[in-house]
Amino acid sequence: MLKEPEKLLEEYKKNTYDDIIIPDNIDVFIEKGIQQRNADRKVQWRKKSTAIAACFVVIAFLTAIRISPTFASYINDIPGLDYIVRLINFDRGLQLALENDFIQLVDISDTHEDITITVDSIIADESRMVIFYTVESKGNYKGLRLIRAALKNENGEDLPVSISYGGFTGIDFSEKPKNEQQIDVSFGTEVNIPDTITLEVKIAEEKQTWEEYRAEHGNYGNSIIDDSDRFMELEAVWKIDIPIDKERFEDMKEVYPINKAISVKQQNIYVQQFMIYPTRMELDIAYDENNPLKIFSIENLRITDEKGEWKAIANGITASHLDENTRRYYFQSGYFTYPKELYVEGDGIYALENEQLEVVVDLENERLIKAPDDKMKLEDIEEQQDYYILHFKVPQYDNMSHYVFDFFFRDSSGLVESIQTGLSVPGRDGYDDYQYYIPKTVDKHESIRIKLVHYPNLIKAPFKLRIK
Amino acid sequence: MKALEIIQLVKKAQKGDDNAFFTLMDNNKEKLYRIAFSFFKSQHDSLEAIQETTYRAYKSIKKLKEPSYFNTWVVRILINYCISELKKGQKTAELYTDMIHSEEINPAVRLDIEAALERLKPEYREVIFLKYFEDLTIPDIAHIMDTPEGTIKTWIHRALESLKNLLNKGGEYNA
Repeated sequence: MLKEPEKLLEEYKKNTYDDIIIPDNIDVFIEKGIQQRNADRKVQWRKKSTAIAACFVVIAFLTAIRISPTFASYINDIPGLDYIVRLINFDRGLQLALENDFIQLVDISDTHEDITITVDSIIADESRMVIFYTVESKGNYKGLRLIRAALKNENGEDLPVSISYGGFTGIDFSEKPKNEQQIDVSFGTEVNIPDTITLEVKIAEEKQTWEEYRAEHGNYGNSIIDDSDRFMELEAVWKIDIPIDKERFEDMKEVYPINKAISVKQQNIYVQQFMIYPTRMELDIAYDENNPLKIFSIENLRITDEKGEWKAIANGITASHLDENTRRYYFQSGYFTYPKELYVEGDGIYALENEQLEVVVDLENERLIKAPDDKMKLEDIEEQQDYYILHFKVPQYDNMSHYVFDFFFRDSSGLVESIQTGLSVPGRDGYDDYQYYIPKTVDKHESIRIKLVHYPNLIKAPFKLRIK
Repeated sequence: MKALEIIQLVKKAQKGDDNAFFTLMDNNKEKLYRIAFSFFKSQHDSLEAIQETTYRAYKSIKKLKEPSYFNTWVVRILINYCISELKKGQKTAELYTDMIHSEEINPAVRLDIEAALERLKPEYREVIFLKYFEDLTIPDIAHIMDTPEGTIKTWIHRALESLKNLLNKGGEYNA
């Protein structure tokens, strides 16, 4: 007996179509689509911020990756604060902290020029503090931008910290007056955390829309370097004195000295120590300066316990340089899962020989005279009024974003100069497009040398080291 | 999600509110994924379709004149993408790999209906999916495919006729 197609379709729907499994990571792809759209409109920046203390150089990335939300019942009971759950979507450690009530309510505001900033709450310990705040506009503002955030102690002195913060890109405050964000603060080893920390913030107001600005400055496509003159800084300084409940995180710290060496193809890597705090985990690794290879980073560096793995912090401050050859890597924290075993694992190293660390560009003939291999391509040198834009293409690699060039270059006389800015935009052809802006004080007849601080040269060498 | 909510979210998204747009996509993601998977039969390709659809939808959201139609509008974007990708030949619809875990009640029948669907003309296949698998109404389907309702009804009728013919051929095998 032959069945009617409708019946077969119905069966198919019930037995097959409805059972199509939706992958767990589908949200990531939605987010990627959103980010792709934003990358079209606005370039992706790599911000380099120099901390006040001389020995700190911090790399901060501002990319937002959201995964399915987990809900913390406590914070959701307080109206207006459920935004925190959304903001910390990407950090499993912070989610656990929230679920364990490891959050301090603050609720202090400061108002100037019809803008109110309220610090709603903080998640803090000795290592890191995440400040959750709301900006509310009661005026006629459209676009607003945070242009400076600083922390001071009770004596008005700047604290030696590194700060990263998200923005309000594309938000029209006249349509949506209340917006929430976070400020991520990394305390250095020398920081004596005071009982009150003053947050100082400066805000600028949008004077021109993105479209108007581009029209006026000519169509650079993706490569507008710095649109800060699109904004006008407001006079006021918003200051909020945040009381720090130090008892809340006192003694919540575990230190594991390791002092073991890993040898990866004759490169010596010293895993020094591992520290666990409620807000994040820290792993100090030193690279032997006598290594024939310069190691940039470790592929898939992760912490694993008996149940699973803890990934690096993807948003905000991902690592610090303790000195030229020592790095402190930050991971999402497993503190509140009380792991019984801990391991550090990696899959390989990104490295180059010391002689390969420089890229040499012939400006006049628009050629790459020297590069580690043919993975890097110099597509074009564009001449603008005040600078040359070197357009490079580098294949996309690794799970984390890297910027391969140093922000300084040498000209023919050996003089070190800094660039105007450098951007990279992920392309959809498997390559990242780099734009490296050199001020026109350099003679076109020169060749310039740029140091590489990362590169897609991977040496596979999986390892696993026990911490606990 | 209520129509009013959708309208509000679309308006916010048109102003560049990522959260609002994410919520709109979040609401449609399962349906979009299933439709994509029906075309590509591959998790990888389907996820890529989600990303590309999100990108295209967000890029052209200001052109959406009737915010309340967001859900059908985004399905249209996805289906256009799926069809053009299949035409390019870059995604091979692999019938039996990456398959779903389901009770196989009558494998012979399942193979046949699936094979038959594969052979339908793209627009016939589309209307069948949308009507029988996503339970969409004729007006919604007409809106998604930007085609008059009368034409949709004709296509459904013809699609079922084609399926009957295709299945009958296979039917000999069954008998």
